[in-house]
Amino acid sequence: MSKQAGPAPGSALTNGSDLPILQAGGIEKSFKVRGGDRLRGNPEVKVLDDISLSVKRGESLGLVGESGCGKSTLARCLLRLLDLSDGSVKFDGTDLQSLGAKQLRALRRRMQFVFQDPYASLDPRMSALQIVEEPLQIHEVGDAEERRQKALEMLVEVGLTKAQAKRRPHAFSGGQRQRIGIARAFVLHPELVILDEPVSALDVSVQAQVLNLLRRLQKELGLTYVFITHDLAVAEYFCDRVAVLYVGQVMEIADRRALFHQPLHPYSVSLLSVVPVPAAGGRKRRASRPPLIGEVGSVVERPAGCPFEPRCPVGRGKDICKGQRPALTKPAEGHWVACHFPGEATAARGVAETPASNPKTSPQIDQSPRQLHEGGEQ
Amino acid sequence: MIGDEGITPALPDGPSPREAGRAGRIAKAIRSDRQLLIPVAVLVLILLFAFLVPTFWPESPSKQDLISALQPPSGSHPMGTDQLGRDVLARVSEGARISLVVALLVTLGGAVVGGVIGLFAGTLGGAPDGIAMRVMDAILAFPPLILAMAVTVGLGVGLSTAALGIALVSVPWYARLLRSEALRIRSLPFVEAAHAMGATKSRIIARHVVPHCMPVLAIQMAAAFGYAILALAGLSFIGLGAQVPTPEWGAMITEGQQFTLTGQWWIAIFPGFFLLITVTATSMVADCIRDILDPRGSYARI
Repeated sequence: MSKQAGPAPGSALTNGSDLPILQAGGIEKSFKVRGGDRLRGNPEVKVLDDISLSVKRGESLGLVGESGCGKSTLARCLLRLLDLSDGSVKFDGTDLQSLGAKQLRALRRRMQFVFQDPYASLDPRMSALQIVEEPLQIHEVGDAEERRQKALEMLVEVGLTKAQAKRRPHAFSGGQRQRIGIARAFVLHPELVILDEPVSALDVSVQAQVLNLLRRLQKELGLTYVFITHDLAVAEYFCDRVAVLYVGQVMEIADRRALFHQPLHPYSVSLLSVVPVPAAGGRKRRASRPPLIGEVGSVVERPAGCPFEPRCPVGRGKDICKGQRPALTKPAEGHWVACHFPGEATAARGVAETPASNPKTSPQIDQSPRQLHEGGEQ
Repeated sequence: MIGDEGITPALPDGPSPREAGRAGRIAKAIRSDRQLLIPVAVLVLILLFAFLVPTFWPESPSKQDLISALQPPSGSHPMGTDQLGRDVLARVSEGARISLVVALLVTLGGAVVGGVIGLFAGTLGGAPDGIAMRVMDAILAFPPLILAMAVTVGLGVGLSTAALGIALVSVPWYARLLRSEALRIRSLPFVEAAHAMGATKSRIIARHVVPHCMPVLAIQMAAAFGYAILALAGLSFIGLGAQVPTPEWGAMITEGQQFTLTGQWWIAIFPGFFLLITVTATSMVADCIRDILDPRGSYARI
């Protein structure tokens, strides 16, 4: 299948004139597998396959998908913590692959990363204050006293006290550690923050606190987020737009509301069907969706066609799905989907237009019937 | 799951017990653990013996007095005198200074050189790693004491060349140890976090990798210190280390052993006894240091 041509999907969402802060075009990332056949060399595993997406300034883009679909690899590639095998990532118009080590380090001041494991990602020998000071030292901001002040202010900003600043990470709870990780990422006032499952390791009650903290900081500092999660409820609560990944490919990108109420890709539909929902309100809508069957597809032996075909309630066994990989198409404004039969899973099962699982966070339900595109023959 | 942005209840303020620091923990362990208290006390006594005796003891370790040669222990010579009438107490004390100082230098030298090689090999990877580690393997292929002897003979017999030989033999152990530590630490998420912040490689090594290697390095150095004392005495005993008239313990045992057969036991016994208790005490302390610094038993992983 040919690569996505033209602008990355989603770039012309609402205000196409704005330069996206992050633009990924045709990213591929392969890893060598150890212990392969000596004569034939080590086999390669393509973890990311032709991923294109763009992130607008000020938005939160969610990346969702099952375990092993390449979310974290994609996050690292977007900041060039890993080198790409193919494709390009442009941060504010600058191609990250073209930069030398020194320029890249300087640019890292503007793009930061929050890690999934709030314990392992903090150096256990450093105090909270030292951890938050470190990025300021690296980028030589102010003198020692100014850095100290800034780090202290940032710690207070994320909800810790000055008395706690001297403590080491082991003295904090999981939520507090993640606050330290957030303070460290935000103390330089970056423009883009990639959050790799920032709340997955936390209790549900603490998740909410941290999500609200992130949202407040986004408003105060005018930040752009790329938010990686496997938790659809978190994505629905937190993100403006959501991209659904499956074995290293983008299946669907859409506004939050469109994705959660009118998913077009059978995989998105299935993914939503496996979200446990409280009985009230959610049952009717989600029970009507086909459950997700089978195992996550393999990245080692990629099929020629759609990677989701073996599990797909719509396309399983169909020749076109087996033989031809669907390109990303745009059936509705701002809604991209890679499927030969977009919307069929939704239409066939007759999704009820019931309120979302969480009426508090999305009070407005899109009642207008959305144009569904049936045919996938480009 | 959506609540107000609340604050997780804070733990009580003030330093937590574990934050009293490593030094505090070690001091506490020494006080509470008799297994550690006794060897530490012995080592302290040996240190005092080595460095305080010359300040008040009038006899010189090298002054010959043939009239009072081969005298058994007495009030004026608590450890007797040797065949040249030199005071054995003064010589054993001087020997303690030599053994402790040289063993310390050997340990530090081996740790610095081996540690730097291991850190660079583990951090750089690729060809530098392969070359450095094959050289280390080559050194390890020799029996340690034989290699130290070969170095000493090759460079000219003496205390300093013996020290150099022993240090060289210890280098591969440090290199392998720190390489594996560097590899382990390099894959930890906080190192990736520093990379994502824009830290340079050298900063990551200095600020994150090296501090985390220190406990393992300290364990290895404590074990190597006792070995260095013993190896030094061994080389001197066979005539490859310290030369007469240097009062090195191993050399003194060699000098004194012929007189032991004729009844003058004190010339060889006292340095031998001090060698025994010093090496035993250091290895006991090394074992305890390992337990304190590495309670999870990662030593077994090495």
